[in-house]
Amino acid sequence: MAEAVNNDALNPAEENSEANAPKKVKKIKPEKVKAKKEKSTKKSEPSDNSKKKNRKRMSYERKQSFVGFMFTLPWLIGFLMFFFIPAIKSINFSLSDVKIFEDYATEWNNFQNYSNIFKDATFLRNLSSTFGDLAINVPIILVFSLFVAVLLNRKFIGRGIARAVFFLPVIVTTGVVMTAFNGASDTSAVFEGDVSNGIMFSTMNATEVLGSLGLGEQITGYMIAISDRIFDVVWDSGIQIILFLAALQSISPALYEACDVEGATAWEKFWLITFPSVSPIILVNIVYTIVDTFSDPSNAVLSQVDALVTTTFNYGNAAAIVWVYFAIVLVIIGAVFLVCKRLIFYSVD
Amino acid sequence: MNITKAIVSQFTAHKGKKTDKRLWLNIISKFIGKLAVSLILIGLAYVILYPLIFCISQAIRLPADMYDPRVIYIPQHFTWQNFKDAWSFLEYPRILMNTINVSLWPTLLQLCTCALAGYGFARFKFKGKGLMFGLVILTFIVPPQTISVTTYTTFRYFDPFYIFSGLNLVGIMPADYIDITDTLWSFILPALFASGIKSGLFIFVYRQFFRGFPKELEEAAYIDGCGSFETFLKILVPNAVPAFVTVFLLSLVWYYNDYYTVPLFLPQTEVLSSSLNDMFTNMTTVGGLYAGVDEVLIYPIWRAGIILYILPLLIMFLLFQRKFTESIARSGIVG
Repeated sequence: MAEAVNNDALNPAEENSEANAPKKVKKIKPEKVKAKKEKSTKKSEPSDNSKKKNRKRMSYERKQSFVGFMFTLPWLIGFLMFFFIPAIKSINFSLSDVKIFEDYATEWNNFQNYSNIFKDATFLRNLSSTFGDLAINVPIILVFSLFVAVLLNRKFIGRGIARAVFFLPVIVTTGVVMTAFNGASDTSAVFEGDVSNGIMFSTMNATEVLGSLGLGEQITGYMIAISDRIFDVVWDSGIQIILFLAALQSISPALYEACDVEGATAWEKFWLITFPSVSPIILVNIVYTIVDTFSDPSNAVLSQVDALVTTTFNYGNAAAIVWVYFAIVLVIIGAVFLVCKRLIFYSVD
Repeated sequence: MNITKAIVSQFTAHKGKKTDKRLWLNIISKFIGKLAVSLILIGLAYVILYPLIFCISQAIRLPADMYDPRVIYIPQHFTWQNFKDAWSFLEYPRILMNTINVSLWPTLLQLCTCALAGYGFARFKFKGKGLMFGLVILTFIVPPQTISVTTYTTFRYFDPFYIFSGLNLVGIMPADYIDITDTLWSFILPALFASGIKSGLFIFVYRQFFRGFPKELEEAAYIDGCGSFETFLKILVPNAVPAFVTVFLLSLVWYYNDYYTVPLFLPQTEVLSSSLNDMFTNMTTVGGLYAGVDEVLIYPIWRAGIILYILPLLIMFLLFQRKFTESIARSGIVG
C-alpha cells in the first residue's frame, strides 16, 4: 500500500495538469512517465500496472490531501520520535521508581511520585512564586509592548535606530547574559562604599536620593520595586513588541483616514481602530508570554526540577512535578483562550 | 463704503489672529507630544542599552580602576587586556566554532523542514489535519524540561521505531541501539524532522505566511505542469523570503543562546553559552586561573567575556537588522 501511494506522490503534476489544462499534458507526460518507470523498476515491477489503474481512479481531492500529508510527514516522524515517545516515557517515569544502571528500569509505584510532590512544601512554594510572577508580568508586558509598538509605528527621525534598539533584547536575551547582567547584584553584600562599581544595578543610591527628598519608606520601596521590574519587562517584551508592530503595520491606513474625516481624536482612533485590529495578536502574545515564562529554565519550579535531576537523580519525582506543572499551565492557557475568544475581533477575511 | 470696508477688514483681521493662535497651539501641542514620545523612547532605549554600555565600560578598564571611586563609565586607564584574557580563558576561536556548528546546521535544516510542514498545514486538506496542527501547538506549549530526560534516554539508546533492534535480529547491526549523545546527530536529527528548538512556533509562522499567499500563483504553476513540490520550490520559496529571514534569525538566536539542551545532549562539547554561564565560577574556584584574586578584579574580564559572547549575534543583527524588521512586518505572522 505504501508503495502504491508513493508512486502516486512522485508525479501529482500529471493529475493536476489533467484536471486543469488537458492540452499541455501531452508535452509533459512522456518525460514524467519515463521518470516514473525508472522509479518503479527500482521497486516492484509486477505491481506497477495495477497501481497505475489505482492512480487513475484517485480523485484530485484525494491526491491533494495525500500530497499535503506528505508535506507534513517529516514533522510527523519527528513528532513521534522526539516528542511523543519521550512524552510517553516521561509519563511512565512519573508513575514509577526509576532505577539507573547500565540501562534503566522502571517499576510501577502506585502514584507515589504524585502524592510525594503535594507533600513537598518547596514545590508548592516555588509554584506559587512562579505563578505570582506570571500574574504580574503578563499584563505589564502586554500593555508595555503595545504601548512601545504604537510609539515605534509613528513616523519620526531615527525610527530605524529606535526599532533596532528595541529588537535588541530578541537577539541578546538569554538566561546566560541576563544572569551575567544581574549576577553582580547578588554579590552586592560583598561591596561596600567606594567599590560599588562592581554592581550593575544599584538601587542603593536611589533609595538614598528618594529618602532625602522626604518620601516615606513605603513609597520609596514601591518606586524601587517598579524600577527593578522595568528592566525585566523591557528585556522580556522584545518578541511581543515585534508581533504588535507587525499587526499595527497591517492595519489599512484608509480606516484612519476615514476617522480623520469624521473628526475622531487620537484617543478614539486607538480604541476604535487600533485596539480591535490588534486584538488577535493580544491572544498570541499572552500565550507566548505565558509559555516563555513557564519554560524559562531559571524559574523556581524548573530550577527545582533541574536540581532533582542533576543532584539527587530522582527522575520519577522530577517527571511527576513537570507533568503537574504542565497540567496547570494547560489549564491557564485554556482559560485565557476561553476569555479572549469572546473579546477578540476578527476582520471579515 | 468706508465703514463696511473697515468692518470687513476688522473682521478678517480678527479672524486671521484667531487662526494664527490656533495654528500656534497646534504646533506647540504637536511639539510637546513629539518631545514626550522621544523622551519616553530615549528613556526605554537607555534601559535596554545600559547593561551593554556598562559591560563595555568595565571591559575596557584596568582592574585598578575598579577601586577608583572617580571612575563610573569612562575609565582612567584604557586597555584591551581584559578582552585578551577573556579570549584565552574561553578559548574563544575553538568554542565559537563549536557554537556555530551546534547552532547553524540545525537552524538551516529547521528552516527547510518547518517550511515544508507549514506549507502542508496551510494549503492542503487531509484527514487529521486539525489534530496534527493541535499537536504542533502542543509541542510549543510543553516546556522542554518535561521531556528532556526521556529525550536524553531516546538519544542514548537511539532505536527509531525499533529499526535498529530489527537489524540486530537480522544480524546487520552489532547492537540494539546507537548512542548518539555527544554527537552532532542529537541536534541535527530533531531539526531534520522539524522537531528542533521551538519548531512548533516556526511551523506556525510559516503556516500563517503561506495562508496569506495568493492561491492564484500556485494554480498557475499547476496549470503549467508543475508538481506540488516543484510549485513549492519555484513559486512559494522565492516569495517567502520574509518568513525565511524571520525564522532563520530567531532559530539561530535560540540555538546560539541555548544553555539547557547543549550541556544535556552534548556534555563533551563546550559552547559559548554554557562556558559563559560557568565562566565566573570557573575563574574563581580553587585551582582556577584566578583563584584567590579579589572578585572585583575579575569583573572586567568577565564583562569582556560577555561582550565577546554577544558580539557575533550583534554583528549579525546589525547586518540583517533592516531586513529583519521589514521581514517580520511582512511575514504575515499576524495574518
